[in-house]
Amino acid sequence: MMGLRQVPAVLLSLFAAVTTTVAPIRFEDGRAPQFVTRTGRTARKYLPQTMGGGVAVFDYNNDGLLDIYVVNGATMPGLLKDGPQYSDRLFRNNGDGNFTDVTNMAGVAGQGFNIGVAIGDYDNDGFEDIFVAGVHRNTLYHNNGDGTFTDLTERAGLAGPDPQYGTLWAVGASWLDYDRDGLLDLFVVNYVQWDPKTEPVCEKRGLPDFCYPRAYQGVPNSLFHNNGDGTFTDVSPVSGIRQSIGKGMAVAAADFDGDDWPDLFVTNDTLPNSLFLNQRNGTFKEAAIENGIGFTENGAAISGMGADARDIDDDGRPDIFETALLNETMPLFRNLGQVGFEEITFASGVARASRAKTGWSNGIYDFNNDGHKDLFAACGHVMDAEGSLRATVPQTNIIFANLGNLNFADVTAAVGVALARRGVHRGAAFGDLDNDGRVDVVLTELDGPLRILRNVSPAANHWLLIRTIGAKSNRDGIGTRIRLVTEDGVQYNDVGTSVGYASSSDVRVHFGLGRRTLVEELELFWPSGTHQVLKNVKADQVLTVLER
Amino acid sequence: MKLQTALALAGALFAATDSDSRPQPHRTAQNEQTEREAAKHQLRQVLEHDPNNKEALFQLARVTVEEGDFASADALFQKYLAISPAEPGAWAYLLRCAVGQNDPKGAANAQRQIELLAPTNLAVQAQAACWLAGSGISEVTGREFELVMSLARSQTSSEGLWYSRLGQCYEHAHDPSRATRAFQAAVDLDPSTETNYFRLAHLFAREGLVGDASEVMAGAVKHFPHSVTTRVEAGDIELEAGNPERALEQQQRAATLNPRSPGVLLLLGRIQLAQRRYPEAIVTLERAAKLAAADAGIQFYAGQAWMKTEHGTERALEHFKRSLALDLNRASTYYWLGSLYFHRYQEYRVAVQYLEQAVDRAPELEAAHQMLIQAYKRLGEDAKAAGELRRYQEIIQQKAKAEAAK
Repeated sequence: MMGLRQVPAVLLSLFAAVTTTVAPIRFEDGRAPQFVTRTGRTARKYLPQTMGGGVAVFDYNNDGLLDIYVVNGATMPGLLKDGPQYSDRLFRNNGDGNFTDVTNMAGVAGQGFNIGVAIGDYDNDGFEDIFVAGVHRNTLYHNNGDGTFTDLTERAGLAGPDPQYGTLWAVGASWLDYDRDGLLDLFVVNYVQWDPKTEPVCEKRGLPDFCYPRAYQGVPNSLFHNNGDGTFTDVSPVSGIRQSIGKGMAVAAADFDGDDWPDLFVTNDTLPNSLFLNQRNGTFKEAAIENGIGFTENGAAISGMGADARDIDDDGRPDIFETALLNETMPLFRNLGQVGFEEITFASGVARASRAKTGWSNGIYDFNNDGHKDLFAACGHVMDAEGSLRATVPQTNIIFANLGNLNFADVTAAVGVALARRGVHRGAAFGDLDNDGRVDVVLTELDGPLRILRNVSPAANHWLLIRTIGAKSNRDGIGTRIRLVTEDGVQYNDVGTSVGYASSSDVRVHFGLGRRTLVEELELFWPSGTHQVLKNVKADQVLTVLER
Repeated sequence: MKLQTALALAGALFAATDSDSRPQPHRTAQNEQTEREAAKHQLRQVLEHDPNNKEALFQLARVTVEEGDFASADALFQKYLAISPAEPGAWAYLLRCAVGQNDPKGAANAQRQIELLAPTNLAVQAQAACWLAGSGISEVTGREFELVMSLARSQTSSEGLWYSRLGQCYEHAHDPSRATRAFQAAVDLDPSTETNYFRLAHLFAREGLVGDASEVMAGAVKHFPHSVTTRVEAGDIELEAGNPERALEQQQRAATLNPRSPGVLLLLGRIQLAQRRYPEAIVTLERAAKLAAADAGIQFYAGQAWMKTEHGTERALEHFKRSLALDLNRASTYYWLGSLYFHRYQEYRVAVQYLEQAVDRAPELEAAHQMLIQAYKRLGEDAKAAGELRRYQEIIQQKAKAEAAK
């Protein structure tokens, strides 16, 4: 396979020279389906109540339109969905800006208190399947291809309790083909040891509130190998994943060390981040410290929340954008290759505006199609609205425009009134809901309505959406790295659905092309090792690429 | 050797153990070495004329222990005990030599002799337990901690000191359970010493036993209702336990006793830092720094507060450097200076100088290892980066083993 590092220097310099005038980013509220993320609100506070809100955008019926799946809470402390208000929901995109609730027909109403969701076609049948991460219960829905799903959790071998920790509390997951055998494996992010019977009582200024993570013991994450027959094997111990105990919040899969094998970055709550480097033999090595990404510059382990890994400076190496708690800033790590990561939170301009926010789900997307990937974070404080932080709990979301040269500007105020609204935001899924080439955002709020932020940025810039269909590789093409060349220079992006916190985004890869209407060269580096090159691709289309 | 001498020596060495946790006036290693060499020279001269001079033998052996040459010291103490076998103090030093040489058999034998010769001598027993704490040999000798604790019943308040020191030894050895019992005995024996409460409460807080920590400090406040120090410590404990609101309550009470106390202002500044009210923290800590310019802690926290602001790098640097000049032993000051030079100035060579000092002083400071590895890499010193990574991994493995043993 050709090395992705072999980028002609002249192209890089050309791209760096692109004008730094920021194309406007505009969002407005779209017509979101009626849905409220329920937390099972009680006088006493139970930790899962502040943690839910996972959302996915994916095309479950292959009609070319992104549908929405959103998970929901349950009664507390019973963890029961004892009424329709707690149902997880699947909304079919009608293509006219409206959505139809197809939950019951699809059979995905769910059970228990669910937190996160991950989308992937694990059996390569051409239909996207759903993995739901929840409190003491995960669910694998197999897409039957006829608008219905079947819960195959037991049969797949994903239902059993952990032999050491019992039933685990998962908050998110990522589908990835870590052994590059053409089948999507499953990495599950587990949070803490939690039992409603032993939930500690915490208060702030005499009012009940959620306890800090230090009140709970950490747990390892889980890695399940896809056996190719509809079942999975828990390879957490043999892969080395289980050796690291954390308080996992989110995972970003990408080839961080440039060896063409997918690695994993995991954020932990009040513990150092984890970086699991793929050893190419079925095992992973935890190497966050040696790569400079365990801690931020202040030396303390932050409350790591969401994570997305994409190449913000288009040097061929995926960088990392992480969200964190109020006043911790939202760390931005630049991948320097063999040397490790460099934290550029302050230098990039992200620190200042992000300090005032508690970020959850986040994404690195080019919202104004100018050829530079921007940053979005869904925000809302952890603590309860009735507690001492009344004024700071609901927060506005935040958008940073990429000015190029690793500089970012907080443009939230200029984006439109839709961004001025405060809420206790949690989940955020990114995808082009109306196929107009502009990346939209679907947001959840705790005990608040589902929201769609429709991207209405002025359409002068051009774009390309790429849907990869694997043949030797997994059918979604997850893990495929894409290099795109226009007259303006080179861009990189990866195929993946696990983005941000507890959420799953459009599997299609989006590129903003600025003024360019032609992609001179499009290179795909498939997980199978296939290297595919397309020439002279027209802009402004959804391009399906079959692996050949 | 008289028993009093043994007590005095044990006391001196206990003080040396204490120095692990408290900043000491700066004394150069070179000075210490010169003094030791002079002492050894004199003692050897005495022994040349009088090879069985007990006092000279003992002192030479003691200096040799201080140098860490346990094998030579062992031989000298053996010789001493051949002349005077019923000296529990010498047996205690022999035990120290055995621990230093990782010799369980020798340690068990010395411990037996100490028990036999001075079963109720609290100083010697406590010192022996202290040396055995965390050595790995205590599993062989076994009883020393319980023996010291059994002596508590017959002690007066002045002996509370020994239990406080014993607690520090076990705390240092990552044995919070025994440390708690020792600190509790110190409080029970000597409720009139404020620091006994503070040590116990800090231990509870670090172990996450927030309620117990608060309870201990409530006891301290009851005994010392007009003590600013106790109120500040009570606030400090609450802060350590993650309760800034309660810390603020204590701080406000302390402020009513002495509103201009730098310690009271420092606590307020730290609370504001914990609550991430950085502009307020800067104002508070700058005020405290004016009142107590020579307080390394205040300078350190003032630097931390400035680091949190967009344009505070220069001021942070000033404060950290001032803090370091006042206290050369604070690992966290080295860390922050390293961090500042690494991240804000990209001066990796300077960062390395500070970070090396930080990890030497506080090997458990994981973030310092991370940054030091990165700084070496940035300088192209890959071998050093790899060496530092190995060192870090060894520390983590030891930590994991200690956790598993618990």
